[in-house]
Amino acid sequence: MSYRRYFGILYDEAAELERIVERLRSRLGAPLKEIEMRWSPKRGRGLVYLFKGHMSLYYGMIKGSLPKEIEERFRRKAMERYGHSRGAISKALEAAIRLWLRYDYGMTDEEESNNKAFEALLPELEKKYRGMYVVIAQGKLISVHSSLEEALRVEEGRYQHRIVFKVGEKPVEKVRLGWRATIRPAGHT
Amino acid sequence: MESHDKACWPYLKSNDAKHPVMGLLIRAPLKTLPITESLFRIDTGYEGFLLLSEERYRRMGFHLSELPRRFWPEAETVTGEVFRLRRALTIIEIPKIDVKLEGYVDTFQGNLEDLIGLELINNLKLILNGPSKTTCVVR
Repeated sequence: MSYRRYFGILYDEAAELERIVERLRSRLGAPLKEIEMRWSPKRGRGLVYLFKGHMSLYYGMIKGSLPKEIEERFRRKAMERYGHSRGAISKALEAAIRLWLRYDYGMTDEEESNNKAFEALLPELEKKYRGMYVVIAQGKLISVHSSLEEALRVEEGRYQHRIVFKVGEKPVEKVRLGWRATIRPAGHT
Repeated sequence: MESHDKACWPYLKSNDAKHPVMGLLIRAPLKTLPITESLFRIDTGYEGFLLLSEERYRRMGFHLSELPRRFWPEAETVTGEVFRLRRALTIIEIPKIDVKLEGYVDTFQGNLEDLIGLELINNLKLILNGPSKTTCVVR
């Protein structure tokens, strides 16, 4: 294999590596020589070598602009973390975007409609049912209960998503996690 | 060792060290699941009530019955990462001493741990017996 014509993607898990290779092969319909996998049990990591002609199938391109000060800080950090090699900025950008994507969650239609209903109903609920437990589902108020036990029991299994909350209770905005709370790494970069 | 006034659990070995744990029964929205007591590590560094791994949170069906998004707090790790928690109300029980508490479960993307936090243990009289490696809850 001539390495100039190939690029490598690093993986820390053998199973993940095999999955990726299998997926790429079925997606590309590429001859075996165009995708190669090398796993080093001693190092506990491996590489997928992919013919450069297929690079655009694996990597996309995003163009955007940043304030100069952030750009400079980002480049400096990327060099510190990944060295002055080619691809350091891309690796840092991928890790940053993965972290950002992990910050929040997508919403299903049902979740969205229930949350919209909650926002619309809240002023009225706070007037009428302070201290009570409320169930919202299918974008409307379903029931009001004096105990959480009753609220949790309501129409079990009937809805895809429900909102259950206590009227008037405002949870804290920030929670600190201890040393035990470990997070899956942001990516293979 | 067991009575109706006291429930004890031996420390659990994990990563070559023994950690204090407690047995809890969690009321899940999916009642099809068998309700059995599970052991959870105690972590006074986590300020919330009960943290579940992403997988367990989904398996128990908490994603189907949650608090409004506006009430999902941000979490900050010790290394300064900030992200959004998912949160759902629940009832936990310690059947051995007939204790029932209302609280909530949290999870976040990529979480692998199940932990009891400060807010839960602040409701309990907890004895950590280091020499005998047991955690006890007294009524």
